[in-house]
Amino acid sequence: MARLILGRLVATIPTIFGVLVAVFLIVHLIPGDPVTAMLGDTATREQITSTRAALGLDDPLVVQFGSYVAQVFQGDLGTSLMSRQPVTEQVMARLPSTLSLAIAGVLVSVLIGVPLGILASARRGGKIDFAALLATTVGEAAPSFWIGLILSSVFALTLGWLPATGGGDPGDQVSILRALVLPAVALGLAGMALVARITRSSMLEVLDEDYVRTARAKGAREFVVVVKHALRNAAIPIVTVVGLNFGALLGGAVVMETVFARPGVGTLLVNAILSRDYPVVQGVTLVVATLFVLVNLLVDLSYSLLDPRVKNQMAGRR
Amino acid sequence: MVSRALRNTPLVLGGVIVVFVVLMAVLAPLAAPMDPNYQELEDRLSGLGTPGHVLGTDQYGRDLLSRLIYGARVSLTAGVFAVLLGATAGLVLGLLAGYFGGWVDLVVGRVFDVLLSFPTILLALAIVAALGPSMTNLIIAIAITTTPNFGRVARSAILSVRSREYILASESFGSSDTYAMVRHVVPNVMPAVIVTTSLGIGGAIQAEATLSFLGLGVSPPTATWGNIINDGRAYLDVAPWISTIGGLAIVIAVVGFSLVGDGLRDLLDPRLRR
Amino acid sequence: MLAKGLAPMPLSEPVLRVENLVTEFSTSNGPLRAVDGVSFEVHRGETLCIVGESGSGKSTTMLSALGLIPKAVGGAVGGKVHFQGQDLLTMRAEKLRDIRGNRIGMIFQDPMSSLNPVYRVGEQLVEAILLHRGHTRPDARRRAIEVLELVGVPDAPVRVNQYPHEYSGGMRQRAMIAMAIINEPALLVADEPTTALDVTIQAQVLRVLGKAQLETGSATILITHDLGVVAETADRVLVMYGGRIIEQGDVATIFRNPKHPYTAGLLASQPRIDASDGPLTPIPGDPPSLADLPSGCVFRGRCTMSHGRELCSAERPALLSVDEPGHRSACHFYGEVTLRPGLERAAVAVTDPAPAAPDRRRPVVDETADPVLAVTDLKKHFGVGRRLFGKAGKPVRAVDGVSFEVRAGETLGLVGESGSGKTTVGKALLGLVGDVQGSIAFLGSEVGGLRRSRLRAIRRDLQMVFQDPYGSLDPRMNVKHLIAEPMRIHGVRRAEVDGRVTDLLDRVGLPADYAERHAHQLSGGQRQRVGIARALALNPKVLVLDEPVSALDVSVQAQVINLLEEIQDEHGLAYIFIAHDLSVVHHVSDRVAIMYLGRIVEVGDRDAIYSRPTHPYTHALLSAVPRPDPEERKREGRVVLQGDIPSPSNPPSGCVFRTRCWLATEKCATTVPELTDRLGVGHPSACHYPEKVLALREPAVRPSR
Repeated sequence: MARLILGRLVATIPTIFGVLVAVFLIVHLIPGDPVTAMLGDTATREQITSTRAALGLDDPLVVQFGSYVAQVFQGDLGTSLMSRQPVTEQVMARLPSTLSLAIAGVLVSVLIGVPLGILASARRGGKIDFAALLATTVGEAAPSFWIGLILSSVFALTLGWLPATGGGDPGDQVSILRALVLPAVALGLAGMALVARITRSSMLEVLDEDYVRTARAKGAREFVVVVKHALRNAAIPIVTVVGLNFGALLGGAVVMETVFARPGVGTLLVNAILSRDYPVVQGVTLVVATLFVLVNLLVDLSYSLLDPRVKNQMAGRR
Repeated sequence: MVSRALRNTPLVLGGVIVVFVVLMAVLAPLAAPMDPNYQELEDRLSGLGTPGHVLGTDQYGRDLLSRLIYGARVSLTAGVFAVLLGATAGLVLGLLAGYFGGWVDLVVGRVFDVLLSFPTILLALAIVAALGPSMTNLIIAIAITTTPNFGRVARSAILSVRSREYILASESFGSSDTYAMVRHVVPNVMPAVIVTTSLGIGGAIQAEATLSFLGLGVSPPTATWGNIINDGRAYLDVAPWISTIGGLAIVIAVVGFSLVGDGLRDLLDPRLRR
Repeated sequence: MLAKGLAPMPLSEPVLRVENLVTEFSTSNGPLRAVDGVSFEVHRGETLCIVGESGSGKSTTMLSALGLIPKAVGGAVGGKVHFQGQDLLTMRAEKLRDIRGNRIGMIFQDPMSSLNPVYRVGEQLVEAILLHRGHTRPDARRRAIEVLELVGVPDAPVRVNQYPHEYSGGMRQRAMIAMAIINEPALLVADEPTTALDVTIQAQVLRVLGKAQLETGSATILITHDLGVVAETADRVLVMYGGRIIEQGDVATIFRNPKHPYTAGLLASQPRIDASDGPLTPIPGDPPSLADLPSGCVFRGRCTMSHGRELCSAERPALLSVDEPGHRSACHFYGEVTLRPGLERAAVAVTDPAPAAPDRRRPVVDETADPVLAVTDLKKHFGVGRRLFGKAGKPVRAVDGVSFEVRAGETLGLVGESGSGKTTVGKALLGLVGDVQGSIAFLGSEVGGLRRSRLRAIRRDLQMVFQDPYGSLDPRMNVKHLIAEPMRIHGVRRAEVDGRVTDLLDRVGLPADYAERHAHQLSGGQRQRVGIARALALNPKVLVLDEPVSALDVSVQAQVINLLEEIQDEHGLAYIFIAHDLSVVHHVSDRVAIMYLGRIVEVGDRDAIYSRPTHPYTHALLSAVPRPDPEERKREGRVVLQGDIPSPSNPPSGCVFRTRCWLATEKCATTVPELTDRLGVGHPSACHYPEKVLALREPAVRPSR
């Protein structure tokens, strides 16, 4: 089993490498001179030259990349041009807020989406199925930040039940939780559509399988048939989608933070983009992407727990 | 085929919506009651049903209905071009990867993996951050985010078709690789691609809206649905309809494309599975 | 074979009594009647076989009787199903669940998909017990191991903890049988239990089924389409067609004195291992579509006896008693159904009292001419990719040294079970598997290893008919394009192509307007005809046929087989006929090669192989084939092989068959037996002890005439 984990970890190395390359290239994609872009039009020639030297921009690309990677592995994501603070510190301080929102969003999407999908598959073609189809089509279509705005408008501004902005007072668990509710629900509503759809179609496929018929022929109760026999087999595509969803919700969380003015990496990122603070842009992108890769790795590993056939394949026995 | 298409409810419903949206975009100058950027400050922040402004006005007194109609132009253009670009790139790469296999497949697969490691919005943001906000860059950014999806769809479609016996049969008659590709593989891959395109346009519209909402897409004062939502943000308490309507437009358009995609999927494939 | 010790007691109360069962499916075009007024009963210790083809309703009858069809899909809408006195159809759901898996055990067709892949086999067995008995878990586990041993799963205490995918096909079916009998049911229902299995494994499983029935004394209902299995196992038989029972009776009567044209037709259209070379008498047309059943007698559209008589279309024939007690037939003119005299052992009936069709005049094969196809020491090993950690996997030795020749006008039958490599040989002949070792000489020139472009010219003369009538036709092309494709590739002129397509359609017996249809609009038999037309398009000299009739219903198989034979006689084609069905191969072949794990173990003249095999595997294969004649059950010297077919990536040393051979000695493990004629019988075999095989003294099959 340890071999398995090691194997999959090793397999992600090229991907992470690719991510590093892509993030590194962001700065170099900028049309024109990145330094001018960073310093603005009023920069003097000396400033430009010295900044270039300081950033090592005169070295060949490969060398720059090498030092970038070395830096990253030492935990140094550079220094913000605006605030002169180390990027790593800034990102790490704000990451928990974004992460908790993304996780909360995923939870909501699963808690709503999976039961909805199961119900729809059990009552195929019926009213619930149709209603679910409707809800998911609309849910998928609506931008999550818009749902956030509407929820905010109704529950925060009009009814005043929940806060419209902020991440809660640090240390005060209750206020933190209260601040999570609206944005998490908004994310969850947008995310549950895909989860519900996949659950439904996966369950439908599984319920058609012969072993479900065998379970019924053995005299098992319908509930047992669905939950014990069917769901476990249907789980793999569902888990896959939830993993992918996490990525989408991470992105959504980033946007949602601007709606709810939460102190997360999202607001950091958007401001950095608007102010051309490239080290911050790179830092945030790198951290978020790496996180996503790790989540996918976890999803991958979970397959072997869910399906014993996979364990064999992955261990190499064909 | 046509009669089956007409009986397919999602397709018809979605088709109507899509046609409506497209017409709105194309005929904007004729359809919109007034110039979307014309400011009538006395009438600012008027609600729904105000005489002369059916959907109300925003904080600059601009007519929301007109802005909505012109917004369709931007959203649709961005959506369609982005997807066309992404689809072409993705298809070519995916076909190459699926056809040649070996290291081509490996390299292309890795590139897709890396691209897909970034949450879509993040990737688009990063690209726009580098290139600078503008319509063109927006389209490029969104196109890059859709490329891996098309690539994967094309690749898996090819791989599944290649393992079918009719490809083997074709080879047994003496067909060349090219013949088999053109005559057998491509026609069987097209349905999946068409469906993905339709769904992709919906996604691209949403992406444009998100970027514009953040101020990183098409710059104001141009009317786009994302900008409209953004405009309404500061006035959520007094004039909630501004943002709401902007979002509703997006929902309707995307639902339309989704339905068309679903309907097309039913139309083009299942018969053949039976 | 079954219930020898327990004589059926027809006077006692039946375990199951079905009265006028009617089952419908809900479709978008309204309800579809799949079972239309079926009545029968089964007694303790007795085996009832329900036999029919696609659309007969044989499976649906039992599935709906037991309430196993999802409500949304359909279900029983009328009639009664009395099980031990209670009506299953009106029972409350919990009571029905109590009975299922407890007093009624079910075995399904495909054991791989019928066992839940994510739970261990033992867990699934234990679940079956705990649902209905108050055992403790450890006790239940003990019982599970006990039952696994009963059904012959080797190493039961270890295997009980394994997952279904770690079991072989035969073992999985045994596990399913174990699960069905674990609570000692009063009724056992087996739905096509051996259809998905290899012949030798089928023999094992049927034996286990018999043993299981003896142990539990249960009534057994066995649903199948294979008349051989019926003859082997049944006490009584129900023949179904189009959702109705069209004949029923005890097994001897049904086979000796059928009184319904369909039953008689089925028997006449079966290729038989022990019959002459006469052309098969197929039943015309295709099995019925339930949406489109004819009025009156449901069989009349295909009945050669009806002659359009009004009664057949006006009135639905009732199931009435004929001749012997317990024998009933649903035919207005049952008296006209007669036996055809002439064949020694087999009772073959036709629907007309016409004289026996003359034996097929086979064109004399010119022994002195050069073979059109000569294969020497052909080998194909499929490599396995290397893993990141650990050494490379072992290659799959699909074909491991195969040699044979085929001459113009003759048919070489290539027979084998899973893993024998027969399909790979077929594909290798056409250059479809990449590089191979050894030589393939076609019309004198070497074609093995030629590149695709060089092969093109050869391919005009060497064509293939594929196994899967669904997968081998591009769903997007219509019939005309499908048949025209080979011609187009070889540059035949447009004008010529059209004419040729029409000719070919005619030749294979399809109406010209089918040219516009697509594959999914055709039946299996029609699709296969399109495949044949396509293969003939370029006037090839050799045709490789890969299981061309396996996927077809029995009544349709005969049509296609006859067609193939006609075409061969017309054009002097050489056929390489790849199949696992020994009866079919017997009917069509001049010479036969038996394959096992990538090698030929015996090859020679058909009659010689079938009547005097000199290899134990051949003997076992012939033993295992169920004959459609109940008398054959008792024949002497039958062998049932133990164990499973080894994996082609790990073949046994020495003689590859030794692990299942009851005659094996130490020599067999160390020395590979060469394919030679050791005893001078006229054909070679690969066994060190062919005399032992001959000495088994059982003529495996009596030769024709």
